[in-house]
Parts: sequence; structure tokens; C-alpha cells
Amino acid sequence: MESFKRYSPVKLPAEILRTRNRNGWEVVLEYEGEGTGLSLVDLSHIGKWDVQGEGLASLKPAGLAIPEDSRQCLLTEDFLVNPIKWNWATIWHFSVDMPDFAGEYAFTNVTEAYALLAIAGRDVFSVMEKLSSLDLLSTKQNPSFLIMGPVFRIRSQVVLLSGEKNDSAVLVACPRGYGQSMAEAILDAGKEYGLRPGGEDLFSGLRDRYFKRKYNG
Amino acid sequence: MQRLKGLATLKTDPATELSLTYRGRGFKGVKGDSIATALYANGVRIFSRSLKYHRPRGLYSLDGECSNCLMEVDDIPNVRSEVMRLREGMVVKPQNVAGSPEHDFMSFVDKLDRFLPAGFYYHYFHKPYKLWPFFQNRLRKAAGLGRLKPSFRMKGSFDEIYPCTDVCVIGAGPAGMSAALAAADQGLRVILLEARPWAGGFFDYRSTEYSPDVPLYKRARQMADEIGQRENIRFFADTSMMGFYAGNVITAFQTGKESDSFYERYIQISAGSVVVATGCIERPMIFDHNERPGIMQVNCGHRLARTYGLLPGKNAVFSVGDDLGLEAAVDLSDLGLKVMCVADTRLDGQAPHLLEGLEKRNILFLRGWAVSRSHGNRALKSATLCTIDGAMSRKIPCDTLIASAGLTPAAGPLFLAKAKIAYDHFTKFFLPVTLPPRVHAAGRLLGYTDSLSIEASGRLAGLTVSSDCDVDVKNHIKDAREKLEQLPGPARGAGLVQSPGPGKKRFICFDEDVTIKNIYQAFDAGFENIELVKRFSTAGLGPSQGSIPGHNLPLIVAQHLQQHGDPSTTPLPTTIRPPLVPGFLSTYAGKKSDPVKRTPLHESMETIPGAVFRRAGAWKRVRYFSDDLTCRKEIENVRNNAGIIDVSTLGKFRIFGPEALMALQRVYVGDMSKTYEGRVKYSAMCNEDGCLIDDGVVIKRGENDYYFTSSSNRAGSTLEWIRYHTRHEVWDFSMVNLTDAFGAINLAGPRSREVLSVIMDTDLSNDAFPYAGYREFKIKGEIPVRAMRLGFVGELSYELHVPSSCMRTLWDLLLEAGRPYDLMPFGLEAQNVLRLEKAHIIIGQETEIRTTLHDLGLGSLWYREKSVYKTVGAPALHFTEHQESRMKLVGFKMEDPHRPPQDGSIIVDEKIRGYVCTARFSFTLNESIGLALVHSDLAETGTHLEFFEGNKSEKRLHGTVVSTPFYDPDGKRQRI
Repeated sequence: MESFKRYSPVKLPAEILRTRNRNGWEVVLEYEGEGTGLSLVDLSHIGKWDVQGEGLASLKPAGLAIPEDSRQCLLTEDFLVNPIKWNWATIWHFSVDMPDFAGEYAFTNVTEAYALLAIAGRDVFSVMEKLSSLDLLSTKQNPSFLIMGPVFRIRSQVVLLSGEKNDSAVLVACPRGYGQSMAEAILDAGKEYGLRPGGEDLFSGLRDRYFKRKYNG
Repeated sequence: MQRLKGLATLKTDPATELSLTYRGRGFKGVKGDSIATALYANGVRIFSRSLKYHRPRGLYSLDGECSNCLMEVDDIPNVRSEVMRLREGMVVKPQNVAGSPEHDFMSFVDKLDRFLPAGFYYHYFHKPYKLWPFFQNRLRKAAGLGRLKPSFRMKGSFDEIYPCTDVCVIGAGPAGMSAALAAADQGLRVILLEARPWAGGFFDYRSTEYSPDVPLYKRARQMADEIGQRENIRFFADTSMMGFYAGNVITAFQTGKESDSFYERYIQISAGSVVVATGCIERPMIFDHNERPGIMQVNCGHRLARTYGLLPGKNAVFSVGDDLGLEAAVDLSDLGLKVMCVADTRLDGQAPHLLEGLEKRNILFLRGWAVSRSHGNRALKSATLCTIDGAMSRKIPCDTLIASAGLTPAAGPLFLAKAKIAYDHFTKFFLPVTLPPRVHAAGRLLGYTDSLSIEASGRLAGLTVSSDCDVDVKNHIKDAREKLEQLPGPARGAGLVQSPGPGKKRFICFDEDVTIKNIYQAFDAGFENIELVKRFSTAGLGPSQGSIPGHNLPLIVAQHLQQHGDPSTTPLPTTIRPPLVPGFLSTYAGKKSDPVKRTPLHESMETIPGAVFRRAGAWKRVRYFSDDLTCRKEIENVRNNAGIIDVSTLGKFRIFGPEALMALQRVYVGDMSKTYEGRVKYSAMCNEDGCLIDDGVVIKRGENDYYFTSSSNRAGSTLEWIRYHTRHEVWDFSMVNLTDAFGAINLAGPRSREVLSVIMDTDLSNDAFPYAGYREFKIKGEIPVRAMRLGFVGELSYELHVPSSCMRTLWDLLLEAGRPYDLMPFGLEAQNVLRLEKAHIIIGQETEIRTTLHDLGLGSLWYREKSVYKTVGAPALHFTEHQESRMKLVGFKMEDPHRPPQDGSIIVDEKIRGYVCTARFSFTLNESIGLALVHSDLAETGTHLEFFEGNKSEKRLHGTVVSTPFYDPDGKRQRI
């Protein structure tokens, strides 16, 4: 179908430099003048799955074991597996070829249910503390971990990908309908820290770096 | 006024001048000044007039502890000028002044005090009672401080942050800084709050030796520097704590510097453990005329000189109760203040080196003396001192009286934390007896006065909070405790409550002009409980919330009870509530943020000319598509052709698992086992009272796998509702909220099948896809659709649920496909009228908290043969089914067909008998129709109803109860 197009719930206020069509989504790869500073990246298009059921430990989505420790996420090159509790996890898939779990009874595709935003750069936590009382710097948990609670008063899932001082990154997933409000609030909170819209390439670079640092030292 | 120069303790920068306007005249202050110190430097001595008696009031605490220095700054009333930093160009006005601060023509009221006893308004103005409204009006006009112009708009930007930390230390004095450093040494995250613009507390302005060659102020700076170097300590200066809540949630506000992006910001801290190290404030000395301009507290006079370079006056008398007073007298004498005399209420216990210092400077020292009266009018001229037994007295001329009865702990945060506080007869302090878990106290507020002891106590608290945070510091704690025990312990406090004297105009509360005499009047009126005395006399009810009377009032009450009741009575503190310090409402409001949900079609809707958005719960939705608020065109088009409306806000859910059906049976009133694949099942949910709370459809998509919808308003709480009502079961089922995952479009109207056929290859005939059918297919082979045949607006219609990201594409496809069929969008108001014509209810509009299923005529939805599932609300439905005198939903038509009553109009006869839920003129029926909830005896068809619109018209309107639906009663049109 010629006209088939998917739309993100988020529109960031910046000039788009490069895009790529992915399953109907017009994914922004790069914005004009995005630089390497603090960035806000719209990742709403990435695949998201909700997995629930009593036999969670026996499921091996894409060959991955869902971590039993609900305080620790599993970050692979393509996936982020977020255990929430013993019978509930979410799976986010970052790469182009989204796996199809549709046949799996325990899986619900929630790609469209959430707007997913990444905030990356030096002052991530200064921005986040203007929007949320969630303790992202707790010494009791090591990145990556998922924490659920209000961000900008909106019930959200927050994943701390990296807490490195100059290379931090947080993912915020909120109900899709709130996506634009959330993006505007984050941009407003980050104004004093130079927060700018960033494209997906910027985030992919960061994610590769985190992954390599985590597993290759 | 000449400023002192070259003092190492100064916090001002004389080289940077700032201008301000006061009463229309230009003045100069310097950088670092507070508004009050800048005015003081320019000779201003009267800052305001008092609330009741219009007495002149001046600088007193320099910490904003009373309303003396509340001023109007840049049109903002009640600004605490003692603590508000001066900014370039500020416009400052005195408050509560009739005329000028020096010549106030309301000051005659001061002579009428005998006619204004405590609670005078209860005495005078209630008899005869009919006069009370008149006086009440005038009293209310006279009460209150400051005036806010109706046109006033707060300027500046207000921010908010919600930091989390392991340890929060309140107060950056020596104890607080020691605690922060000790906790930070253990690798913990520490937040340190300080109300003043800098750390240091009572070390900061003192030149007394801390250790050889290190004066206290240098020690304070050493510690502050160390704090600044620690990455794991966040120091918030200019930050006043407001509240302390369960779970160690601390609220505060920070005043921004000119370089900050905010004017003020709200701070809400979630702390693992807390140290309260807020030190002490001074307990006012109570004597005759104890609040004249020129009278100030010890640390006010001392800091005025040491921090701001301003001598408080020329000739000063000191009347003090502790060594800090003696130290200030010696130091201020060295700085150029002529100290006429120092009276000390204590008979012994003075530090020998301070007595030597006074002697060396030829300063008269009176042991066991106190000030009993000040003299003067608008300014202080002299003070009478007397022995504490009143036997001897002497009058000394002076322009400054530095007076303090001693210290009192600034224990507000401990009160808010629900610590148990009791009076300690040795320190004469209200001290914590037991502290809540993870809350600790340190420093001067525990009675320590020795510098090393204060720091050691802070360090011990810092280690103890570390232990709270699971750091193994047992040995460190043991060492710190031993060290503290070797140092001087809490010091004996000064006990004098009020000095001898005739007892005229002895103010216990400056804010409310409450005198000791007023307190006695409260006793005479029978009030002896401290809380009742406080309320009847109003002592401590002013803007400073008990800072000034907070300690003395309990002492006075206890003295009274000891003399006239139980001699063993111990002083009891009054209750302290947040906010501890007044803040702007704008600060609480923060960023004024309003998260709003947008449907997947929001952007498409914005491009439609005439679309009017309205807030509908969490969502923004289009109410109208033109400026015709009757929406006639939209309505008629749905009835005659086809229309589309965005209904994405509906709640949508998946429930699955072996026992999902059990959960559905529990919350829905219908028999959910009769939910079949390919069909939609309409049902409703009731609460425990049998009242309708939600309705929607349930679809079986597979074995033990259901998709169901809720009304928009219930979308956020439906899953919680199901979890709550199945919490005691061990049923195996899971749920996912898909409200945002799917958008929904309702395509409705007699030509809607033709429109949909354009973009669909599927057979859409009534046989293939009948009313109440459910189908899944793909549009154009790409867009997956969950389609339902429903009839909310009473026409052939399709509710199409598609992934949210595809909604705009589908919307555009439908509009394009519908062009030959005159398809056009319709909004919420048109939908409202269309469904009204069908008498379909909207929950919350045609229901209220007491409306049961039967009241709405929906009793048939209830399947009563499933008691095994304990359906929520079923027992109440049994009970209320035949209950009399209930409110029933009825349809009505108006006598005047062109005049519908307003929504919410009441239905009356002799009494109020009901109200209109929704009423509109129906273009389809060419008459005015409505739905109303009325008493059951008015519910019969044919009953006459009388409507009263109240604010719109005095004229009564008339209508008749009719059967519903109004339109297509057989429902043929939705089944075609």
C-alpha cells in the first residue's frame, strides 16, 4: 500500500536531517545540529512486548533468559529485557528486524502502547530530578535496571541504562497518549542543560558503547 | 551610615552598589545586603506598623522570625525583608501603615488596648447577633497584613526538583556540616540544606577562637570548603525547609540567585535518613514595651555588624541570658559600639574570659539583672534595668537595646517528624525524648554550647545515619560517642520567663500584637490548655507561626498552672505544622505543568478548520468542528450520510489466562461465559453498592483470551479494579492495558458500509458482519483492524480499532473513501446529541454515585444466576432492586419544543425532585428532549415535570416524561 505510514506520538522541535522508513515508521536518524551533548531521542517505534505468566522463567524469547532478579535488566546488542516481577517482564527490541512473538500466548505486543524516549548525556539526572522523585542513582542497584513510577506525574517505566557521569542514559516509557506532553516537559526541564533533540543514530552509538563497556570491559 | 570595612566576616561587597526605591525615594545598598539591612544602612528604623495597635516595629531577628520586617516588595506583600536578598531596582513599601511609618494616624489604637482584650470580637460584637455581620465585615477588612492587587501577576520563573538521597542534613551549621562530612566519608549521597545564603551557622560571624589562631568564622569556612569539595554532598543554600512527611520526605524551597534560572524553586527530597541540626533561635526577653524599634536580639545586632558591616546603633544596653550575649557585647564594643551596660539574668555560670573582656573595656556588668522596660516613642531612648527580684532598678539612656532571655532550639523539623518532645529543666529547652526511626538530631538544639561538642555531636549523627543506610560503622560510632562524652555536655539554660515590672505592653507575640495581659485574660476566660490559650489569644497564629512566642507561651502557661493548679506542671509545647516557613504559592505550583493526553489523531484534528478542542479527563478531544455549537450539520450528516469520530480514548484491555473468565465474571454483571468468538458482548460493571461504574464490550479472541473495552474515564483504573476484586483469589490470569496501543474510529451513518467497502475487500454485508459482530481484518492488506458493529449513536456503525501509529493513515483513507458519500467528521457534542436521541447513557453524565443498574433501567444486564462468582455489586442489586424512593432515569420532552433546559437544571414541585442530566434540541426529531434523574414517583410516563434553571432564568419550564429511546425505538437503523 502506497500510503501506509505509521506516526510516532512524539514530534521533536528540530530540523530533521536524515530519516529512514522502517515498517512504515519514519524514523529520524539525525537532527540538524544535534551535537554530542545532552540529547532527547524518540524511540517510540522500537518493538515492545509485555510478557506475563507463571512460567516466565521457562520462556526464552529470542533465546534469552528473562533475569530472575527483578532489579536487573538484561542488555544485549538487540534487546533490553526488563523483569518487573516474578511473572511479569517487558522486552524492548532496538534493531531493525523485529522478532514476531505474536504466536506466543504470554506475549502482548505493546509497541504502540508506549512512547519511549531516551535522555542521554552528562546532565541526565539533573533533568530527571526536575520531573520525577524516582531514585535513579540509588547505590543499591547497578545499571541497567528498571524502576516504575511517576515522571512528570505520568505513570512510567524508567530504565537506567548507564549511570556513568559523562555518559549517562535513561529510557522513559510512558503511555503513548502522553508522549508529546512528556517530550515537551523533558525538553523544558533540560533547557538549562542544553538538551536537544537527537536522532536514533546517536542513541544507537551510545547503546553500542554501553553494551561493549558492560560486556567487554 | 558608615559601614564597617575590612572585617573578614563580611558577606557584603561594598564595591558593588545596588539601588532600591523605598517609599518613592532612591536608596543604595550593596551586593550581599538583605532588603532590611540595605534600608537599615540608609537610616530606616521603622519597617512596619503592628497588626492591631499600629505600633512602630523595626529590625529584630534578622532571620525573619516575626512580622516586623514583612514588607511589600515589587508589589508582592509580606516579603521577609530580613532574609530576602537585595536585587537591583527593587521597589519596597512598608506594610500596615496608615500615613507613614513614622506618623501613622491609626496609632491611637495603641491607647485603646484596654478595650481590645483577648477575643474582644467574641465579647463585643455578637450581641445583638444581627450586628455581627456588620462588624465581621469591618474586622475582616482590618485584619491581615499586606494587600495584593487583583491585577497582580507573579513574575519570574518557578521550578521544582525531586532529588533522592541517602542522607539529608537540615542545617549547615557546624553540627550539620560535621554530620554531612561524616556521612559523605562513608560514600553516601548527602543533601545539606541551609536557610541562609551560606554555610556556617553560628560560627560564621564570630571571631572567638575555635583553636589557636583559628577563629570560629575561619573554622566555618574550612568546613564549608570541605563540603564544597565533596562530590557526594549537594549543598542547597538559601533553602528553607517547609515540611517533613512520612518516609522521610522533606519539602523545602530555595530562593534563586540572580544567575539561577529560577526565582524560587520547590524541592521535595526523599531521604533514607535525616539529621536535624537546625541549632537555636533566641528566646525573646519579655518586659514592658519589648518591641520598640531599636530593640533587637543578640545575634541580630552581632550579625548586623559582622556580616553586613552595620553597627546597630551608637549607645547600646545589653540584657542577656547566656554567654553569646556577653561575647557580642565585647565584640561589638571592639567594633565601635558604645556598650553602656550588660545585664545578665544569670547569677553565675558566665565564662570568666568574657567577664574579663567586659571589665577590660570598662563595660558595666550587672549580674542577676534584666531589662524591665524600654522608653521612647518611635525610637528607643532609654531602658530601665532591674534586679530579677525587682528590688533595685536603674534607667540608662541608649538608642539600642540588645535583649535576649536565652536560647531555644529550632526544633520545628523534629516536631514535624513526630518526635516526642519534652521540657528539660536543666537546659530549659524542649528536647527530643524519642526520635522516629532514621531521624536524628545534633548540635545546639540538643543543648550543646561548646564548639567542639557541637561538631562531635554532628559527627556522631552523621555516623549514625550511615549505619541507618547499612554502612558498617559500629566502631566509628563507638569512638565518636566516647569523644563526645569527653567534651562539655549540654549547658544549663537561662530560666527567667519575664522580668519584673508593672507589666504594660509586654508582647509575647509581635505578629498578632498579643501581650502577656492577653494571655492572662485567656486564663480568666477559662482557657488553660496551651492549644486553647494559643487560639483564644491568637499568640503564634501570625505569619511567623510561633517563632517568637513558641517557647515563652508554654512557659507562661505552665507558670500559671503551677501557681493556680498543679505545682508540678511541666511546660508543654504547642503543635507545629507545615509549612515551617511561609513560601509563595507560586513556588508550590512550580512549573505549572499540565500533562495532557493526545489521541493518535490529534495532529490530524488540528488541521481541520473549525476544530475546537476541549479537555475531557486526561485527554484533549474535539468537541465541535465548527462555530455552530448545536452541531446541526455534524448530527444531520450522521443521520443521513456518514460521519467519523475519534474514539481512541476508550479503555482497551487484554485479559488472558486459564482463569481470565472467572475474573470477568467477578467484575461484570452479565454472564460472561456467553461471550462468543466473532460477537461482541455488551456488559456493565457495578461497584459494591450496585451502582454503575463502567460499561463496555467484551470480545473473545481465542481460548481464555479476551479483548475488552471500558469507558474513557475508567481506562486508568479498570485493571486495578479487577486486581482489587480478585486479590483474595489465586486465579491464574494476566492483563495488559492496551488503551494507548489502539486508536479507535467510529464510522457511523446509513452510508458507512459503502464507505468502508471502498477500502476493504471483506464482505461487509449484514449477514457476513451483522450487528454486534466482531471481525479482524486488514485494510489495504496492511493495517490490522479489530472491527465491531455497535450502535451508540443509533445508526449502522463500525468501531474500528487499529494500532495507534496507523490511525492517521486510516483516518485519511476513510475521509478519502467517504468523499463521494459526504462523509465528514463529527465531534463529542454531536455524538452527545446523537446518543441522547437513542437514550444511551454516558456514565458520570446520566449517573451519579448512588445510581444503580435498576435506576437506569439496565437491570436486564444483570445475570443473577452466577452467585458462585461473587459478582461485585450483586448483593446490593438484590437489595435495591425493589427499593422505593430511588432516583430513576427518565426521558422527557419539553412543552416548548425549542427550549431545552440547561444541563443540571433542577426539577421541582414543592421541593427539589431531581435534575436534568442532558437536554438538547434534537434536529432529527425537531423537539427538545432530555434525560433526567428524578424521584421514582415522577418516573411514570406522562408525568409533568417542572424545571428551574436558577442562574439562567426565574421562569419555570415544563415538560413530560416519555418513553425512550426517542429515536428509532426499535433499533432498526443500527441493524441494517
